[in-house]
Amino acid sequence: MLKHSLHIAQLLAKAQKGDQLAFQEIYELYYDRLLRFGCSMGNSHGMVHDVIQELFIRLLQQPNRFLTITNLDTYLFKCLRRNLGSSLQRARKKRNQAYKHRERQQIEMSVETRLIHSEYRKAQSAWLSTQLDLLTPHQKESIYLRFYENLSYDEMAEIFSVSNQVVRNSVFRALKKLRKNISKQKTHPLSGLYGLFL
Amino acid sequence: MGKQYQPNSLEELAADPAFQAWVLNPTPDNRAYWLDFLDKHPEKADLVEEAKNLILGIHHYFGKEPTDPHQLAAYYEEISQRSEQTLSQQSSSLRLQRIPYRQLAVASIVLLLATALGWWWTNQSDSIHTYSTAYGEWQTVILPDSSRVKLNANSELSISRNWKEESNRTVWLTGEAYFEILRKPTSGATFTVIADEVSVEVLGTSFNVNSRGEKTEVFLEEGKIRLAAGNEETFMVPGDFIAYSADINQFVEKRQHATKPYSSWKDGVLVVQESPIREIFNKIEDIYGIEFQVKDSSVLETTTTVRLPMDKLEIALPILEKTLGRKIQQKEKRLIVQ
Repeated sequence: MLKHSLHIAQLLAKAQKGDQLAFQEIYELYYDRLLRFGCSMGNSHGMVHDVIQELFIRLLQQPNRFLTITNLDTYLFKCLRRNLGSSLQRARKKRNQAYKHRERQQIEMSVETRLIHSEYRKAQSAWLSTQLDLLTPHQKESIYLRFYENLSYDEMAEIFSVSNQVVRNSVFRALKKLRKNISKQKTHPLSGLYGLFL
Repeated sequence: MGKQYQPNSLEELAADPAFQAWVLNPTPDNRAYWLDFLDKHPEKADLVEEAKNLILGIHHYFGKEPTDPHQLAAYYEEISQRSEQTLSQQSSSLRLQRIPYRQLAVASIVLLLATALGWWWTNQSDSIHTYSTAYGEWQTVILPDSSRVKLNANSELSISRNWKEESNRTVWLTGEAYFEILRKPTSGATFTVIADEVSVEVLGTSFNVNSRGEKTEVFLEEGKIRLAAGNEETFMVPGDFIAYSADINQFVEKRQHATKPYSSWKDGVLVVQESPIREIFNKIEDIYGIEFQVKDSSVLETTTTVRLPMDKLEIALPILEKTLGRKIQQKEKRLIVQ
């Protein structure tokens, strides 16, 4: 973990000095993470991809902006979140029929691939997935950043532009909602896995 | 991993990186740690189980298949092209408006200074970038032109930092690598691999270069390449296999219609067909960084065919024992063949 963040800090320093290879490596390290984050709040894969591309194009074109970055995690997550917001609004305003059609197709695709790729989930953690589905988009992104990306509350506060306490509260509320159902699942197949690990 | 501590809430435990590491990637070490923890704190068993289910569920919900590295390189190519396009569009639309001469003069001075500074910088920083792999490890390197190089264990690939895809693309190799080179039809730029005394020049193709040992071997899978070594030069077509010996400055082996085994390592499998055991041992030594000791050296000259995994010695050894019909004893880095 530590080694990883050290590597990223070194990459950032190199990229800020104009090293194209380092910049590309940053892109390749962050693409999947940003994609997962963008999708965590319910955006379509295609739209998140487009926004990530635009985000990095802007970074390439405006090196000044890039030079001010100190924490890549929070900077990139924050930008993606803001840009996703604005492109969502743009999409709503336009109400472009073709665009909507494409979006719907992509959503259907991702549902289908999800089903194929996750027999495990289907069998064993479908119950938690349905509970996660019930969370609000903001609760989902909070859960994602805290437990998948392992970000600190301070980093999350920076990304959401709110106070540390507000983030804590929303993570706790989301956990409470999930927890009611986790504890009901005592006899669930997943608890069998617990034995396997021991 | 921290000292014994007391997680008091589900939130605290589930967000603990050490706990996540155990749930997601259990190893003997972290398993022992958490078993010990449960022994000492049996009252936390429910909490541990709950947190474990939570982490597994969250990872299955938000997880995605990682994007293929080749695809990622293509995505990157797209943004670097698009960033240049939009920049030139912006500047051409500027030209249509009234030209602000004063600002332009200032801008061009700044630009000149920046270019000079840029020159100075590139000449300052070290100009070679090296990728290397340890024993039992291999790596895919994506070059700035999106060409792919799969580097075998214990190998090194160097490229110049100011690598220009328009002009000639050159890399240096020690060890073994498999190349998938993208063709540049517009500029016709060639791609050159220099390995020991041999240089391989290509337009766009897939091939394997192995410069371990006294010979440098090249196997061509697709496309066409020009091979230059010493004073000799030859062209290769797909399926050709050529070995060059630097000692005698000659091509020592040419074979046509050779098949995949030369590059099978890139899929994580070592395939050696009808070769002396000596050669097979050499390859295994190169991959795993170990050393064979043979009591009865007559075994070395018999020929055989093997298929071995390249990252799991504990699986490769029993297969090898069966093929040889002999027991192999492992003492740290030495393998003793009975």
